[in-house]
Amino acid sequence: MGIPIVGVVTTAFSNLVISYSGKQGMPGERFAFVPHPITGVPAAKCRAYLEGQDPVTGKPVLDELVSSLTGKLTAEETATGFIERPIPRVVEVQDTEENLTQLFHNNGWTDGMPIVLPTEERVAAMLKGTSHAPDELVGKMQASAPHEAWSYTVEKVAVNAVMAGARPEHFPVILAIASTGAPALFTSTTSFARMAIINGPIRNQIGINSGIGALGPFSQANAVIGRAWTILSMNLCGGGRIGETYMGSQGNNFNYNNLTFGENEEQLPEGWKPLHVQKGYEPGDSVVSVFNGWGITHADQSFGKDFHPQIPRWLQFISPWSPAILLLDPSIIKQLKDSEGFASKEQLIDWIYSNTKVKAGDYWENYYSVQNFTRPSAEKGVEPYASWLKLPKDAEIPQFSRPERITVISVGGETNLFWQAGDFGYLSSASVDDWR
Amino acid sequence: MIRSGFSALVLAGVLCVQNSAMAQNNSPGSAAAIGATVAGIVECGQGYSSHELYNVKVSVQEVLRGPAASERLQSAAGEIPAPAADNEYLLASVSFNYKARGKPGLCAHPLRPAQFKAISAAGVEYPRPDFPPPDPPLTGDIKSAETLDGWLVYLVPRADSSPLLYFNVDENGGVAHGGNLWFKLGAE
Repeated sequence: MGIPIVGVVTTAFSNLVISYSGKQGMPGERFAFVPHPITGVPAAKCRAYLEGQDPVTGKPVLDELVSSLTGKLTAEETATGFIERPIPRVVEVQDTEENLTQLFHNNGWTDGMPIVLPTEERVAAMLKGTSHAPDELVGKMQASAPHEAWSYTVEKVAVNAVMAGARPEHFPVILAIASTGAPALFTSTTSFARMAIINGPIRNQIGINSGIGALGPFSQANAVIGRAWTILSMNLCGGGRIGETYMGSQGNNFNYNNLTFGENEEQLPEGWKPLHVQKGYEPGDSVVSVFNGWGITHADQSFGKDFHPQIPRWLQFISPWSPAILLLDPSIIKQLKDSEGFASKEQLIDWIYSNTKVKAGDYWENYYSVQNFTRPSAEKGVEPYASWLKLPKDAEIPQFSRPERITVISVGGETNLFWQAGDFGYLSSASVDDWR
Repeated sequence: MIRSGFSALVLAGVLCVQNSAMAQNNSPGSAAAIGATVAGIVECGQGYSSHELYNVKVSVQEVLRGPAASERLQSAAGEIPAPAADNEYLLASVSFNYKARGKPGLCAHPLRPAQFKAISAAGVEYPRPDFPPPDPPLTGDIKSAETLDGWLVYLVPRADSSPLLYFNVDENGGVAHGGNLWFKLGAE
C-alpha cells in the first residue's frame, strides 16, 4: 500500500481496463497505452513503443509513466465508500413495437436478430413454466475472470427467455442452463463457443431434436433454448460488450445458438450410456450439460471395413491442450459396437486416449496454449506433465492428457454414416427437473 | 404489424452490479443481522477448462469485542499485543455451509479468513491481526454439503459500534467471483 503504480496496457484492451477499474471502484485509475499486439513483436519494436507516443492520449509514454507515478492524487482517486448503481426492475415505456425493438438493439441487449418484446404479461406467462418464485436466485455469471460476476433471479432469466422466443415449456431447460453460471459469450481474445447437450425425458416432452438435423435450425426448442443462453449471457452478466466484456478477435458463429441439441439416447446400443448417466444422473432424469470449446469439423474419410483406426489421425487437428468431443451418428455407434467390438463409450474413449499420440517435442514447442498454460504446471511438478517434460523429443505422449477429456455423444438421424469432432470440453451438468 | 403502447419489462442488465446481494436485499445498507443467514454462490474453476457453481449459506453467529474479545484471544493465543489507542479487538463467529448445485460437484472450496473483510460503513477496511483467533479458526478446505464454523478476528475503532463484514472469495485475485455478502458486526 502507498506504492504508486501505473498500468501499461496495449490498445486493444484500453476500453476494457478503463471500464473494469471503474467497476472495481477506481474510476480514473492511471494507465499508459502502447500499440497492440506485443506477442511475437521483437524487443526493439517493443522498446520503440515505450519511447513513442501513447496511441490513446497522443502523449509520450515515458512522460505519462513518470507523471502518473509522481503526480498528486486527485480527489476522485482518494475517495472511499460505495458506488451505488441503480437496478430498475421495470422500465415504463410507450412506443411502437418497432421502436422498442430497436431500443433493445441500440442498447446491446440482443443478438442482432428480432426479439419478442418482454412485456410484463409475457414474462408472467413465461414464469408459469416453473414452480420457482420470480425472486429466487438462479445463478451467478461473469463474462470471464476477472470481470464482475452478477447474480440473477428467475424473473430476470424469464425476461431473456421471452426475448429469445421461448415458450413456458422451454423455461426449465433455460433455467437449468442459467443455473450453471457458464456464460455463452465467454470472453477471451480467442473466440469461444459453448455447447448444451440435453438428456432425459424432457427432450421428447418439449420437442428437442436429437435426430435428423439436430444441429440445424429445425426445432423450435433447440433454437430458442440456445438463443436464450446467448441473450441472457449479454444481459445477466454484462457480457458481449465489444472491447469491454467481449474480446474474441474473430467471434464465433456458434454463439447464436451454442450448439444446443439432444443426445439421441434411444438409438444408443446396449452398454452405451447416455451422457447424463455417465455423469451420475439416473436415466429418467432430465439434465442439461454444458461444454466449452471453439469449433467442430466433420470427417471426410474413406472408410474401409474398420472405422476406429481413422480416428487418431483425424483428431490430430485438435490442439493437444484442448479436450475432444465426438458427435457420432447412431449408425456409426452401432457399427463400432457390432463390427469393431466397442461395448461402451468408455471403451472407445480409452482406445482413443491410448492411440492418439503426439511427439513430445511437437507438444512442448509448437503449441501456444501448451507453452502458456501447461508448461508452467509441468515445471511445478504437476503430473503427467512433469514426466512428459523429461521425455526425449521423439517420444510419444497421449494427445489428450486424460480419458476424461474425451466425450462421445450420439446425435443424428442415421441418414448418413456421419461424424463430427471438435475441441469442446465438459464443464458441468444441471438438473432440468429441479427447475420445473 | 405495429402495436403501440408496450409497457416493456426491461432487463436493464447493463445497470446491474453485484446483484446477488440485490436478490436477497443484501447490501452494505441492508446487511444481514447477527444470526441471519445469507445465501450466495461461489464458483469453482476459471471458465476455460472447468466451471461450476456452488451454493453457500453464511451467517455471523456471535460477535465479541473489547475486553471479552481480548480475554478470549489471550486464552487461545497467550500473550497478545494491546490494541492501538482507541481500538479494540473484535471476534466474529461465522457459520459457512457449502453445497454443489449440480454435477460433478467435486470441488473443495478453500475457505480462508482473508475472504472476509471488516469495514466501516464508509468503506474503510479494518486490519486482521496476525495472531490466531480462538479455536476453531474459520479456515479449511470445505467439500460439498459440509458446514464449517469458526472465528475471525479484527482490530476495529472503539467508536465504531456497527462495523460491517463482507464475504468475497476473490481475495487472491486469480478469479473474480464478485457478489459480496454483507453482514452486521453490531446490533445497529
